[in-house]
Amino acid sequence: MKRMKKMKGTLFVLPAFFIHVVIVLVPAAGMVFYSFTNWNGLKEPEFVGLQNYIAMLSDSSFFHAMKNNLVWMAMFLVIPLAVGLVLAVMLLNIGRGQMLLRTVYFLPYVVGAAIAGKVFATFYSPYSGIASIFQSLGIESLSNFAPLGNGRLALYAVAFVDNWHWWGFVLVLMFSALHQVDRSLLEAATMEGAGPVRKFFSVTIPQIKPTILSYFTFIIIASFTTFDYVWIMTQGGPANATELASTWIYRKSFISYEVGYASALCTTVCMGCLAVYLVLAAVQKIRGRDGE
Amino acid sequence: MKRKWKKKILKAVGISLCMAMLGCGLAACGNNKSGAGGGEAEGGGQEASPEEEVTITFYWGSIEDDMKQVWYDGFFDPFVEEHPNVKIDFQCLPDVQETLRVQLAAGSGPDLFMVDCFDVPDYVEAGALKDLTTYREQYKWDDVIYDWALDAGTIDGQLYGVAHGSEATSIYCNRDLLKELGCEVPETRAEFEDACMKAADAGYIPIEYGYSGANEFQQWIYDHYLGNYSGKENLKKLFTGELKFTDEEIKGAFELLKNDWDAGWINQGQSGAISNDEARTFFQNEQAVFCTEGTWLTMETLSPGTLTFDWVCTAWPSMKDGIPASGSAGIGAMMAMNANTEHADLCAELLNFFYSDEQRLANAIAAGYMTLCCDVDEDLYPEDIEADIRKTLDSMGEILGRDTVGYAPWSAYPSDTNIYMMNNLDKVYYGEYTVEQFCEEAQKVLDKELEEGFEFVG
Repeated sequence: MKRMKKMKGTLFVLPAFFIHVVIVLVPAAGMVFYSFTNWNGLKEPEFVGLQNYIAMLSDSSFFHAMKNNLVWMAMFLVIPLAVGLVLAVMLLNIGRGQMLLRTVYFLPYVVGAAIAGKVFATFYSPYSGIASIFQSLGIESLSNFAPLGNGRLALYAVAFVDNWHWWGFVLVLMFSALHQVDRSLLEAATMEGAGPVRKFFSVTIPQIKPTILSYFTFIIIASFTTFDYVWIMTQGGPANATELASTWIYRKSFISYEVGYASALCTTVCMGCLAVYLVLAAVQKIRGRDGE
Repeated sequence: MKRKWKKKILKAVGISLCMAMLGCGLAACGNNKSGAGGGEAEGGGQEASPEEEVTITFYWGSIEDDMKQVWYDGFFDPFVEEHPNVKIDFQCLPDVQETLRVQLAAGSGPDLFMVDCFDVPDYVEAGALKDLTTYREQYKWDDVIYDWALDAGTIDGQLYGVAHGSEATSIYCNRDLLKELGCEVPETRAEFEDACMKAADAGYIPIEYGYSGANEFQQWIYDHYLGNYSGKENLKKLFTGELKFTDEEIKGAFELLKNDWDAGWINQGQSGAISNDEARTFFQNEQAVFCTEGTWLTMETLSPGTLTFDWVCTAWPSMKDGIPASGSAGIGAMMAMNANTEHADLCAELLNFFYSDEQRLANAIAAGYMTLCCDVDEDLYPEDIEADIRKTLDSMGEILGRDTVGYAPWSAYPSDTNIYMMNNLDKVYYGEYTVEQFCEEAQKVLDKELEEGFEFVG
């Protein structure tokens, strides 16, 4: 009976697994294969062994892109979480208007990246964007505000747009997590004389730690696949200032047609993400055991 | 009882969903036989009989709807009139080359398609393009199409691409603004500098130029500086290995470009922050004195009458004493045939249709179509041809008729070197690279291409 039940379950899962194998695992295996070849996407691939991986070691643009990815990841680990969590706590204490505010804050998440990217690119234009507003207001110091043309600011300018898009979702996520906080613990803390800040850090945060850790895991991996806003707004420019691993891989694959090399880059990034995930999973497991 | 039924219904729904997923998965793995490219037919497959319905699929880059209509009015509709059993499925795709590579690598793809000149060798090596040499002889294209245009599509003596669209790189000048500044249309570096300085002082943008989100537009700017500082002979020497990027004759062009960038003449140093469309509006709205685009600006891009001021399109001024003012001749793109097409003869006939009737071509050009790589008798243009198009045709003829006409990067430069320059020149603008570093890296890429057998068709 138990065996029948297990078999039934397996049979139900098989079609989805089959599709996953075909759409994800087979192309991934193909990517690893092509990483050992010199291939331009058209002719027969030529096996070159580890040549692509060796070339990667001297690819300064790739390392620059990875550095940008780390900066991007750091921004997304902190900013949406901080803003989303603080606002979620505040929303929890609002009676009326809570649903309306949650909807309003969530709205940017449903705006497509192409639309938001293009609109913000216009906002950032030195001639037709915010800079011209500052100029008309007589604020000369900001009348040259053109972050997308500034190598030092461009990455943060693009990250701001993605943050704007993303933090509403984080707010909703944290809002749900906050509902799981045991009220009796909060009441006990209040009776013990704890203030709101102390309660937040000593009661609320530990209770929603699994959600935060899951968020960190997701962000660490997702930050290496970020592509849309950067490509729409700057295509990695100016002068590679906003180049990320994904845009560099795309450029190598579909603009330079170095598909073999791009596959090697992609394989390396994937292995890096897998390593990070395994480390985080191990940490969570250890913390879980310690907690017991 | 109710619970039992609920369980049964849920089970049935679950099984149906699983079967549906399995079915979708298997269907997706099926062979795609749609599209005239097929995927299984060898080149030279059996041609359709006159009664058989045939669809020729033709992929091109993204163009405006009114331009698409010019293609239909000028060529496709007349062709279909002569061949009632033929339908032409003309698809204009953004990022057409990316779509094509994937399809051609899979052995499918359209019958005819657009290919950039520098991609032709890759496609030929992969066996994706049909050899058009027999059709070249059959339709006597050597008598009609410019030699240099045919050469651009010829690999090892075989023709693989028919040039579509000839264009000239140029400078557009707002003569009204130049008059206001007390300047003439510049022909020398000194006159150019004078005009730029006066424009900047008067609060105008000396040279409009934007490339944000589209590094390929960098080709325009380095074409102007290389062509008019280094000169065509030195460029030929560069791409045949006699000169290097680090030699003064070549490096000086990039140093001058960097100099003009730092002076704020090139869109006030904001080119990386604005798109080409936005930059173009500065010229349209008389905020910029010079425009970096080529003759396509007033031939196809802008509707006739858009520029409401006194404008001129001419060769970019000389950037160095002894190097004359010049523009570069370029091929817009190639028309190529899929090696696996089932309708090779019909497709070749369509390719020939673009060049076979001078009057038809003149009418299409007058309607805003690109000039092709052939001569067109001036008298064949309709009398009511738009003034802007007439003016541009005259300018183009003047630029291309000069002995000094150079080589457009997208038509003549080695592919990887061109891509390197497109993607890295802005590092020089923004100080990430010195000119020396940029030239050294460019030379490494060029050396590799020369070793691999690149042949300059200048």
